[in-house]
Amino acid sequence: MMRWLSLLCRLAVGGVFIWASLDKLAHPAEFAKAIHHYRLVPYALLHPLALLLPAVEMVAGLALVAGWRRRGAALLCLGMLAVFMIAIGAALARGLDISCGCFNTDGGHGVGMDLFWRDLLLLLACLPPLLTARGGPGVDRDR
Amino acid sequence: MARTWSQAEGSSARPSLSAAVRQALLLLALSAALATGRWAFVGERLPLMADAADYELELAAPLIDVAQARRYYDEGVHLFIDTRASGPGIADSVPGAFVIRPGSFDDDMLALLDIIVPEDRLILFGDGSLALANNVASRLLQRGYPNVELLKGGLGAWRAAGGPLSPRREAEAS
Repeated sequence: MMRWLSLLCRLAVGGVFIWASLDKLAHPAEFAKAIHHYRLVPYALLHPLALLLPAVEMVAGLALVAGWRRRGAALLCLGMLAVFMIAIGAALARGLDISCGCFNTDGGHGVGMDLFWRDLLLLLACLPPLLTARGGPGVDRDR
Repeated sequence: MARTWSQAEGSSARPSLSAAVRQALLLLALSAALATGRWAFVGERLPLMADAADYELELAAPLIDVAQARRYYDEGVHLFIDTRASGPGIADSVPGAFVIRPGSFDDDMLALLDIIVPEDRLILFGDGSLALANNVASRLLQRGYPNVELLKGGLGAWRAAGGPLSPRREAEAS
């Protein structure tokens, strides 16, 4: 039962992260602006983060879907989602009316509590592949 | 006795977190390689150091500092406009300030149609970054409200300067 739950969560979270990375990988300058709108990242880190974050999303998403280094990928996704939730909470607390930059860099969904709950749900879905000894069919065994 | 999940899955030991951390570091290294390759060989090459000028706003209206805003407030001639979106942590504001938010500009303007007229002198403030106030200012100018100024530093500067505060009056349209 747990391994199938883990498989389902892997595919769902991995798919979301792969999807989320595509537009950002294609348009790093626009993604840098989306990050800047949160006003949390200093200029010195803005472009390196805009380049690195979509790559981490892509690699972690592919690893989750493939079941390769599953637990490490789940840990990365969990960490990213925790950071996203902090950023969303900070934006809401400061009354920022900005697009989230989650899936596309051209406008997109505004930051709101719905995004916070969505990310919390995804974060919880990272737990089965992270905590179970087996994660369902995949490249790795017992990873 | 009930079996634990790990026994049920045929494993005698809980997976260790340190192994997951090692895997995560490996994936991070792969990601860094992917990002470097993407940056070096594919499409536009984003400068590694951002130029702050690229991210600065082109302001639609003149800036005033908080001392000037306090003088305007004491004179009682100007209207203050709070441009921050409603949400947690948005509780107080400049006393008497009306709310016009970029995300609900049309609704907020409709609610204030009989209150704010083009002849009014408007002081717009946001959360300190000017992005929200500037957004509303440009749209007010387009609607024929020419007397618009932006408060540098937003409500944070107002608060830091000891400006009076009162519970925010939420927009009638919200």
